[in-house]
Amino acid sequence: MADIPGGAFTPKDWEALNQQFWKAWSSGVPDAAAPAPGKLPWHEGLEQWSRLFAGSGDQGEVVERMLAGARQFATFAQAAGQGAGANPWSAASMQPPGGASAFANPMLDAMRSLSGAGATGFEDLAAQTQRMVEPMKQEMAGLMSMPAFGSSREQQERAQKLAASLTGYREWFGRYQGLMLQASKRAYELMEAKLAERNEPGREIATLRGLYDVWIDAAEEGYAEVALSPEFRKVYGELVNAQMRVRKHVNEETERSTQTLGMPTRTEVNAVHARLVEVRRRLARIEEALGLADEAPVEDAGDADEQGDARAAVPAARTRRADPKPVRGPKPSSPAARAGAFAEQLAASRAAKRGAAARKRRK
Amino acid sequence: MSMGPIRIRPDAAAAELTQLGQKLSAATRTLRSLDDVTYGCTAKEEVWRDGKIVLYRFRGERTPTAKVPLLIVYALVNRPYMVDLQEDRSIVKSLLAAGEDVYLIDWGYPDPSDRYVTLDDYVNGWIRRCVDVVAKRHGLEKINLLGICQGGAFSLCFAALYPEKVRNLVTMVTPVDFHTPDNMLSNWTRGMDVDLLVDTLGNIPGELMNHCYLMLKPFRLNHQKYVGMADILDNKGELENFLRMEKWIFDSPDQAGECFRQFIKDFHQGNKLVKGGLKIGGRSVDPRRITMPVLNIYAEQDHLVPPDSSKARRGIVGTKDYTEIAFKGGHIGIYVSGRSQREVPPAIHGWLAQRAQDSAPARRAPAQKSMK
Repeated sequence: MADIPGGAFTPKDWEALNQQFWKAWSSGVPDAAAPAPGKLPWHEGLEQWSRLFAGSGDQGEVVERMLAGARQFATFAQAAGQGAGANPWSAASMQPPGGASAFANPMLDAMRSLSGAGATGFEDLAAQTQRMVEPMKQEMAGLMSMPAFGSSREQQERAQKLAASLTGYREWFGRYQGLMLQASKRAYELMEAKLAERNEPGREIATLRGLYDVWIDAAEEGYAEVALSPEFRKVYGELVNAQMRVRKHVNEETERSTQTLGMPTRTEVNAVHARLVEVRRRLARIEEALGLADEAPVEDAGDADEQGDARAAVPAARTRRADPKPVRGPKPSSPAARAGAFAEQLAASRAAKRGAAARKRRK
Repeated sequence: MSMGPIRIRPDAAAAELTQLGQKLSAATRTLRSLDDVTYGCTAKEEVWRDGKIVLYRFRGERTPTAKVPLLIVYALVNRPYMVDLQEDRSIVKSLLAAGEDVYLIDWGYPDPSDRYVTLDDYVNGWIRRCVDVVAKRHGLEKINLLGICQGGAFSLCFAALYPEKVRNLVTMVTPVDFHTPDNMLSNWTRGMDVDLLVDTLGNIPGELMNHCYLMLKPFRLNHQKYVGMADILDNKGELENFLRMEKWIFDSPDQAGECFRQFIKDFHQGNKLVKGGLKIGGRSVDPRRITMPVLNIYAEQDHLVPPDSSKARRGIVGTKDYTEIAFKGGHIGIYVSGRSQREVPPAIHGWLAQRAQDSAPARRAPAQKSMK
């Protein structure tokens, strides 16, 4: 392996490094398959590692996130080293000719690679919406250029609005991508400055990891400058708004379809939820008025005595509510009277429970 | 020719990559030996519940010596078990060991039926009822509040609305001024039409919130952190800690739509805690009514709640007894770092103990039976 002052690598050095990595990695993995011809041991090792943990729940998700980081590190090291060639390393050497590479727009790459289990960005939501819009596209294309009149006028207008909202979203996404590119360029400038700061004895960078960390610092700073700007506020806000307009139109079309099929709509379910929340508020007020507010209500008390089990308690509580045992009496005439009657029933039920508990204790 | 600042020798790079390969190789065994991670190390009992909202009381190994209990009000985003993550990383455990009597509100996981739950429901409803339950159990008029992050903002509002119910107010990594120039999250939300967002999505998905938080530091939080993970791949204990933190980070409840709408409008966009004009449930929130002692703990490297956002508290509250503590760390480290365990709980306990000496707690009239 050549030892070149200044740290420049030859292609042979990289080949040797790859072999060394493969040897170390495969030594503890009996089933490791040799890398396919043309595939770098680096990447092959990480891929095989990923397959080892596929489908292993939370740990598998973390492994996937770690591998995404490791792949980025490997790509960075490879690009940086090969870009340097026989010359001294620099930030410019990490940018391939023409700027087209995995690092050409690392901000967007970073944003995309964030998505996965537990993290869904606005771009992912847009992709979901896009899939819903696809079937409508052909119809929209035909209707877009025609004046809206006749029996299908409303349908045509809705399709035109949806198409216009999609166009609006694409425009704002283009501007957003432009800002991300600006952040990437700024990151390279900052990288140059950071390297210049280390151009003195004792401050040189001697490890790949050290170089990677400097790059991360530069990337974060470049990104932060853009992400904190008033322009970003405007573009990001409009991007989200534009996407919500698309989604709103899709929601409305979906609602029309489900209504036609006699299925419950989002609007109807929302109305039920709004009433449910109001009933819960009224119940709370009644409990407080009756002096029952500091007692643990029994209707939803589930098995969730552990914080982490709260999700499990929801279906349990739902099951109990599905099997009510109402005490029926004459139907009160007004809402106030009904609330009063309900409160009385509740108080009587609580008193009976307290009495039963006291009797049990006495026994 | 200048040699430049990068002096990576091929043999040193080879050694680095060899070590990484060895760590990955060892990890195939370590990761398979790990069980699913658990969290929450301190015993607790449910003392009150309203649907998904649960009030817990923690049980320490010793009887509390503090006369006034401490209620922790956590944020709606992420889960509150962060304050009791594991044996050696538990603010709750340390507070109990110091003699505090600790309660906590668990907000649960809102589902679509909670879409119309408002900020009023949280502050004037559940926080008030939990405070009343705790106060009544101890026969007191006032209790101590510890608000964390967004829960700190809620606690501030509560203390301004009900100063007669709060004896001492402690806030940790709590935003007050949402318009400081370094507040990235607020910068993003200020251009959004939050009405359109909530009307379209209903509840705000936890996964979307997560993505936004990760995008505050996309390279550190999504890449560098995991490259660093390679260093601990052969250490079972460290890996378990890492996985536990991962579980917490990605365990984000959805946000009730209406509450989110008001929080973004009034706090992020309107900055009304500082500018004034905040109303919750039709009642004006005037921070000048916060006349009880206030302890404000902020993190110097907080990327979510910039220190200046938190320190703005000093200028808006009405108290003459205001203490500020700067923690050397970040928004997450303040809960779980070794430094945090050494510094934060003792600081809270010491500050509360000092104020307990200064005056005896007012009892409820007629006196109620204490649970202690």
